Amino acid sequence: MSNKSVYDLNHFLDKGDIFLSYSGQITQNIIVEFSEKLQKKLDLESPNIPFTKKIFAIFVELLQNMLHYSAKEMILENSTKKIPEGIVTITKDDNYIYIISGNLIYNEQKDDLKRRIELVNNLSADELKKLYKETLKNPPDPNRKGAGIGIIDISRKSQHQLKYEFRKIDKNTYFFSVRAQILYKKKGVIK
Amino acid sequence: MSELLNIEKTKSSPKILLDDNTKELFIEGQSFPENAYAFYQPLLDTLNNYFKTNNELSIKLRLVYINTSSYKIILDIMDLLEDSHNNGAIINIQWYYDPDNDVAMETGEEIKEDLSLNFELIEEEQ
Repeated sequence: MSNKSVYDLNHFLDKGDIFLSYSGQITQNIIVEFSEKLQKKLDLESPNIPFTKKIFAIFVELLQNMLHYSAKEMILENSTKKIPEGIVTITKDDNYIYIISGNLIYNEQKDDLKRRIELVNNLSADELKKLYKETLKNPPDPNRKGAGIGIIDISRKSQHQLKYEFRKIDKNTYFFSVRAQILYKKKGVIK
Repeated sequence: MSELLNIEKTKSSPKILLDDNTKELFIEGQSFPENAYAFYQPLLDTLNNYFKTNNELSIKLRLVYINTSSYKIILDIMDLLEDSHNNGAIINIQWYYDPDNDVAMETGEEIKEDLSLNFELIEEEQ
């Protein structure tokens, strides 16, 4: 990266519409650290930003999804421990807060992910609640580290369709990004 | 015996206190541990044993935020409590939430919906 690029990147991040951004290793410690930072920032802006707990919940759920499922994993020297990597950004415009995550996935993860997002995107709030409760009753899947309900929870808290994209990276992997948005109601309008 | 279980709070996991003198279970904090199953297993095991010799428990939950995998296990704990209740145990649950915390309130409401247990939602400024 050139000096100009660093300047441009800094300028871009500084414009004010980026609330928080992180790219790199995803570990539980990093999730805890960034969720704490996010909570402090949201507390400072609150009550200008309602639904802060929903933003927090979506943020943690997206990061923990990457912790469990990201395909790009750094292998540390002298260690067999693999550390997943990813990017997460929170931005805002006049109407919405956007929480976006991106990470590499393996080809075989793509169809299942796509199916799960399309499913929640086509359900009403009541149907989502029903699906959420039904999925919670499923016995734990030994192949999954989480409860398999993160996407449903994110969709319910966002109350909007999730936007997603898969970009082919190489013969084994895609870059997968997903964006949740929350309507941002300004102070004094609706709490 | 008094404190059967006493787990200290961390930034991503709640304090858990189960006391068979006062017959109280107290869970307070945020819950998004890396592995929720592993984190809550000691509580499930201890509760299973608890009801072998006790038939009364008062539960106070003050959970600011729980992630989806913690939520799933809390429902397992509710199932265990419901079974104990059906076997004659007297169980009361109080779910405390800050009125500003929409997520904590909705979570409490949804847990209550599917339970026949005595489950009280209590608003509390935090």
